[in-house]
Amino acid sequence: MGTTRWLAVALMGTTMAWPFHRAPGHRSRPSPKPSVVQGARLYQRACLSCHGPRGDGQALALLPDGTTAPPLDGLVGEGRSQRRLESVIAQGSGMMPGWASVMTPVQLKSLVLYVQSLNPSSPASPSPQTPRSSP
Amino acid sequence: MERHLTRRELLGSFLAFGALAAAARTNIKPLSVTAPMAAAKPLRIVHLSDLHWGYRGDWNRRLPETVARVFHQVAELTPAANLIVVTGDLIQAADGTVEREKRLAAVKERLEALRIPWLAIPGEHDAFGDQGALFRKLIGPLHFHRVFQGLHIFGLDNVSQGFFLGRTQVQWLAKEAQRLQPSDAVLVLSHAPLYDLFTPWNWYTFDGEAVFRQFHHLAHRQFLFGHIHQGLDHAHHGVMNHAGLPVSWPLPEPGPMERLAPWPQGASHPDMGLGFRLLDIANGRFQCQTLALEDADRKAVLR
Ligand code: HEC
Repeated sequence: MGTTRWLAVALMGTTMAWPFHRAPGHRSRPSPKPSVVQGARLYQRACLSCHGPRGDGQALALLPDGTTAPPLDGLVGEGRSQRRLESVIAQGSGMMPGWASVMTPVQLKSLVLYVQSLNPSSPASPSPQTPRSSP
Repeated sequence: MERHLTRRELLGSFLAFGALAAAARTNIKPLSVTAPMAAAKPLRIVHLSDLHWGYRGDWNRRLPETVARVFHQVAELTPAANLIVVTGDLIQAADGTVEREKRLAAVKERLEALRIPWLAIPGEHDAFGDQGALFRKLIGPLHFHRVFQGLHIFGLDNVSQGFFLGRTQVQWLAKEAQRLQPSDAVLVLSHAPLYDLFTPWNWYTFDGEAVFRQFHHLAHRQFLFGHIHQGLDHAHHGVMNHAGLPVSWPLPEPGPMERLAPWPQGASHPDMGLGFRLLDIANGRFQCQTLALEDADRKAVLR
């Protein structure tokens, strides 16, 4: 019953607490050089829907054929080179959009930095006494 | 007593915050253009969206029949429609060119049979697998500028490469928009909303702000979109954005951070949320109405 309310609080909480939002009134200026923070901000707007909020492939939107996009955490561990990441983000592949036609080279590099920073989650170990903390 | 937030309130607060953030992000000032509308003749435009022809499954168990009933209603309108616009997802995505071609041809045939001029832009299902090549061949260009009885209609493609327009299209748009007079009436069609409606479900256009900027100098603009499978009206930078009703199936309101999914078609109310919308242009004003397939006394709504 209280789920909606809980969701509201959680949602507003995450919206407000997301560290990468600028305070109202501050316009974002294009960053002169790539940064992981810019990458995280761009990821939230342009990539989260398909690759999941944590980059683990838990997509919030399905692809037209009913499948989902692959996880992006741990790509470095799997041996994906920076060049390969840059090329797939910029040029796209299959249902993966090619972002070079809408983003600047600095933005693309920032996304590569962010994707490289993504770590896979360790398996959860909830204990019955301590309910899992909310995000 | 505990008071629970309804989904609508939740949505409201979320969207309000989003709007605030969006306003802060851009430098588009409130509009102050006043000019009488150039398109003098009254126009009636039917807005169809999200037919998903070819879909088989629980979300709509009798899609061909639903499409036929909606098309019948369109044909019966009084006064008759002058133009039909379709804001994407004419078909359900399918593997294989042959099947996709069959589906697109079937929708085209039904639209032609209405004998009313029509324009369509692609949704991501139409462009699936070939970035819109087949749509271009069978239906028409992915983006265009047409003048219909004095009304400037811009069809935009914010799906074929991703949920964005891209630099090339924005440059084209800027050139076209420069040639417009402040009194020109403009109708913009896109599949995904041009503003950030709900980015976690791809209900947005990455560079959609550019469109609001390009048409900022005009007094009479109205934007129609689809994709979200529900009727919704929203002012952004002083422009009304109307979402078309789906012909296929409804989708939930945006808000919950969960995976977007339709639900099985209702047993007692299979037409819930389905239908189309009407845009009337008369006396220098736009007026948008909703025609739900479920309304028994539809004709009364129209007159
Ligand atoms: C419309 C859904 C969609 C969106 C939005 C999207 N992607 Fe993808 N992405 C995909 C799909 C599908 C693939 C798999 C492509 C393939 O199979 O060739 C993919 C693949 C990738 C890969 C390669 C993964 C690998 O295993 O090598 C990277 C990196 C990537 N995406 C990053 C991003 C980034 C960064 C963004 C945001 C700027 C983004 N994606 C937005 C759908 C999407």
